[in-house]
Amino acid sequence: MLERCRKGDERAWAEIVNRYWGLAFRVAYRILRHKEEAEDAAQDAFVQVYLALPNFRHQSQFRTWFYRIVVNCALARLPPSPVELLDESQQVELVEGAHEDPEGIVLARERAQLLDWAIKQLPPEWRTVFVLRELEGLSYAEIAEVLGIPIGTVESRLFRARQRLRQLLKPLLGDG
Amino acid sequence: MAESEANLNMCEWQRKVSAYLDGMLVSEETAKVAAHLQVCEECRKAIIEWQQIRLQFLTESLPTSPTMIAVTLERLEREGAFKTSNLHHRIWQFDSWFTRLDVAFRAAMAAAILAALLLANSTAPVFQAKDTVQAKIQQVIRLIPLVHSNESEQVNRR
Repeated sequence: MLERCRKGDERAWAEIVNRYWGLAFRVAYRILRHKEEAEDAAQDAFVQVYLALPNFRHQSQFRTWFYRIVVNCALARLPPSPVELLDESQQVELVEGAHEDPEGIVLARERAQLLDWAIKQLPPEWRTVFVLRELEGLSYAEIAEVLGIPIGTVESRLFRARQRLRQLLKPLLGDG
Repeated sequence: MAESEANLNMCEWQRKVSAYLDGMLVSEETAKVAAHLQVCEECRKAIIEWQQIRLQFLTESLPTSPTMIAVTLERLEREGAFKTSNLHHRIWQFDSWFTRLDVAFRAAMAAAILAALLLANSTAPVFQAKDTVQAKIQQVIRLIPLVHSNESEQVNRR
């Protein structure tokens, strides 16, 4: 199929976009937490695939290569100050809103806000590793290849992301 | 060796537990962490909470982008990705145009098209032809007694 894409076969491109759009949008959205930005990042990724396809030599799997492109396109769209800081009253509102839910169940909207806020507190490099491992299910080796970092760094960033999220999302966690 | 492991602080243990959770430890280390988990409530709690966090993210509903596949293909076309063209192109264009419309408007359009088709069917040439044939048959039937009566008149004259 990639060969057909190289030759400019419209139908092959349609198959690629149909097959990988979901992945591209999902990863971009989970990194950016912004629908329109994620849509643009996913689109950028396919254009990057088109531009880089002549140089793709099958040294890595297409999927891994594609993940790398999507992650780079998403990271390029992160605002210059990636950590979205809420003022104290906003933080209290979110956390108390979660705590004071009468049934002990946080409303979906509040939960989404809390997840949004929490993940935006992570530095982009921790956030990316967390998304790829915990939500996309990539192995450490795959993440290392996607991000071009050693496996030890993957392990350390993931641990830090997990610990930070554990602190930030206390209101959502049960007593264990 | 055993002493240095005993001296691992909680953070260091939890770091190992994190790797253990992902199956990233060699068998010897795996056994050590498994043994540690038997006695350390804090590390067990960490595992449970990490899993809860993962579940929270996995079960949140993500926004959808139903029109974006078509938009992306249009952009690829503009970038010059397509050197061969086929019928899909027109389908994408239609899909792109159609899916940008509001859902209610699309439903109303579909209903209007269906109604128009039904109406057209009832006045279609096939039906008209059928009606014409029926009319002719009835005309022929009406003529039959006349033919008979004409024949009988001729016989009587003879």
